[in-house]
Amino acid sequence: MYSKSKMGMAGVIILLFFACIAILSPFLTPYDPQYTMQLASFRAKPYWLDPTLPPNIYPIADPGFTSANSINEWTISREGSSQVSWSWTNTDGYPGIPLVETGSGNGSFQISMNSTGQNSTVSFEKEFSYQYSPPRRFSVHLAYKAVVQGSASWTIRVQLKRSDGVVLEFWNSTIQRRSVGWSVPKPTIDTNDATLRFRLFHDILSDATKVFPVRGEHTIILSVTIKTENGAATIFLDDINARIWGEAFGLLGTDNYGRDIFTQLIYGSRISIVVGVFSAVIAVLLGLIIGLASGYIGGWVDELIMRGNDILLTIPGLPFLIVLTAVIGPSIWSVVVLIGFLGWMGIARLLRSQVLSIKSKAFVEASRTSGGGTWHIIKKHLIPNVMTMAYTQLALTVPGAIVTEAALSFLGLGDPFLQTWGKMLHDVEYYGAVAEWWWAIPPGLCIALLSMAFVFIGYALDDIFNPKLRKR
Amino acid sequence: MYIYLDMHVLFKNQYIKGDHVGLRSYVAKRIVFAAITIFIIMTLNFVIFRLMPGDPVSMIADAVRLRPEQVRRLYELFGLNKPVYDQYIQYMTQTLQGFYGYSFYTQRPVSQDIMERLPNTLLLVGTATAVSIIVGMVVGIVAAAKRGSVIDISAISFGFLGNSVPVFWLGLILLLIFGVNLKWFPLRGTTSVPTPTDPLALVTDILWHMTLPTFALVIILFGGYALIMRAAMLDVLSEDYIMLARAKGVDERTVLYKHALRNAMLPMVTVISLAFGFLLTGALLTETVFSWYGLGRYSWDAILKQDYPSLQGIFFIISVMVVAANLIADLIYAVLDPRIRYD
Repeated sequence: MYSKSKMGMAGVIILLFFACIAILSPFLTPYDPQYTMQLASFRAKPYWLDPTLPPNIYPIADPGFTSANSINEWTISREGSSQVSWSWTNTDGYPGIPLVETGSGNGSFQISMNSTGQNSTVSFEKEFSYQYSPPRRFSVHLAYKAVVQGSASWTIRVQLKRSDGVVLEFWNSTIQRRSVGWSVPKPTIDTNDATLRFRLFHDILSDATKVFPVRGEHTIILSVTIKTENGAATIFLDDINARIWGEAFGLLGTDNYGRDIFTQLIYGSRISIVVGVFSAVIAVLLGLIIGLASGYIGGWVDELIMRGNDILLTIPGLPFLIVLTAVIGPSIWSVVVLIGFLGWMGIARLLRSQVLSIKSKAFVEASRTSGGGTWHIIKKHLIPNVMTMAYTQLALTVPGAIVTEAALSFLGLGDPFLQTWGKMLHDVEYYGAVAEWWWAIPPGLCIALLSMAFVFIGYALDDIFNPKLRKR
Repeated sequence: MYIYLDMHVLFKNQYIKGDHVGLRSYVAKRIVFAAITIFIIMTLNFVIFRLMPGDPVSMIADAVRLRPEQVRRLYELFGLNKPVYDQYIQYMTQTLQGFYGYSFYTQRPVSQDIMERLPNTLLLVGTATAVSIIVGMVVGIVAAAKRGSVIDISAISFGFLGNSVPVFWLGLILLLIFGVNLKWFPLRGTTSVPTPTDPLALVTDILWHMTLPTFALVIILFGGYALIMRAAMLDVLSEDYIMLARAKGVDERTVLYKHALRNAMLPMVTVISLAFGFLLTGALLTETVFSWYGLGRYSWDAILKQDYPSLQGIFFIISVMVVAANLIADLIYAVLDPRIRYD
């Protein structure tokens, strides 16, 4: 019977679609909606929007020197004394910074100079092709270690030779005379780094769009200079990871933390469905209990409940919710419970009138006269007869709950640990990203579609259960 | 947002209909009811304030690092050193006198902040209500007269839309299309900066800024009104006197607009008042999107700054407005429909 209702079927199909997305979300996207940050440049655009925008580019194939072959991708040249030697070594590797980053395990590149009184520069170059519009962010990660015996000095430089021949120096270690453990350049070689920007703000390097103004073949150059006076030095290099941060990423781009918007959209369906259904269940259960009590008991209890109901109906819902959530603290479960507890009034009123009309029916009278007790009448006659209405109300309450949760999240009262559709719209508003329509449109569309699905289902149920009400 | 589609709200007054009361006693009853509602809302506000983790003073003290004597002074100001019932009485008196505390953020009395913004909100809400009621009623009447037509179907669809489309998202989309891309309307604000001094230019400027938010609210709202109007019309059209009028040979236009419409207008009064709360809520969200200098943007800021006194003030003011709207609607209803008074 239900399948005959076009509207009802449309609702079920949309709902199933979202339910599938919600269940399958870990398979649809590899990222976490909240915690996988820096996937690309912040507020990157979708990849399909503009083919000239660069995706994430990692020019160096094996930055961690994990195998002996890894040095083959570099073009290595020497200037000065021939006493210098270089090789891949398996014994040592950058271990990473605890809690901040992980290293690449064993394997690094070593440059040694064992004879005294020598001066030599080893530079290794990696050429790569860049055929996109300028990126906003370019970074080079690098880890180095120096072992110095006696009197020797060393320098490391990181440079970029542009296709037009201009050589830009990002960083150099200046002249060092001592041994250092594994360390990384400070400030980090990153055009997004505030320190670097501050130091070089007058410089061309503070903006990556000026680093890659031209398309073509660019070359990353690392050079190590070792000068031994009376001793020896060995320099280890590892994790040489250059990155051009993508201006185009994923289906819907990234948000202000470089998180994938598509992932947030996918995972948002889970939260919306759970919030909508759970708060509707709470509201309908409360409405059922209160409506039954009010209608069945009647008298002053009924009067009291209905007057209380009127008062609660008068209290404007969202402002009340705002005050409550602001005070209690935003968490998804408190939002669910609060929406449920503020949504039962209309349902109770409706079910009460239904109970009143059933109570006066002949079969209830018959049951009562033949000795049916209160619980018997409620269980066998009243509840079965109001259940259809309760189901309809359940479906019709869900959209309100979904939209209310979205509104709370939009206003900034969402669970701080969950990225809901409403929260995505909050971010759009907060960061002034209205013009980024691929970010602004999808979450609201999903809210509307999911709510609409429940409205359709509710109306189809209503049509089936109360045919005469609609046939006016 | 689903309030419209619950047809039962139409019969809100049904239990009153049974009472054999005169107009005066009816009015008195409604006023007492409204007063009780306000009283309960105030009490809720008081209770919520005490529910907060810690107390208001510790919250301020956390925020601005006060000296112990300043903290003691604040405790006295809030009356927190007194027993709870004294605090309650103090709170009630202050609220009735129009004092809702000081905003943590703007450092001004909340009432002053609210009074500054309230006219803007009322302007937006008033315009949106008027427009959506007119559009909704016209669409509803036409939909009822021509069932199954395009207008009927679109009225129903817009009713559904109002149920499921978040108004703030619609606002964002309108802003995107008409503000960002077409540049027909401003992106934010209540007036241009600098504000035009010429009165005529000022009015045009405000109207220009108001168009998009009003439009967003109307799109969300009018479908609901149309559905109610349609249902009420269909209800009335099935009455015996309509059949009689038709049997007499009265032409269809007169039946629709003279006989049916007048009676179908009655439930609209209740619906309009009940929708007022929702409308204010919708306006809060819409204002936020358009940076309209009203209560909506104020509550957005208050939420971001965790400014609890402002939030409570907003909640109280909106509740009072909703209760007042309900009361007015009840009174209008009593004047329009003598059955309520005398049955």
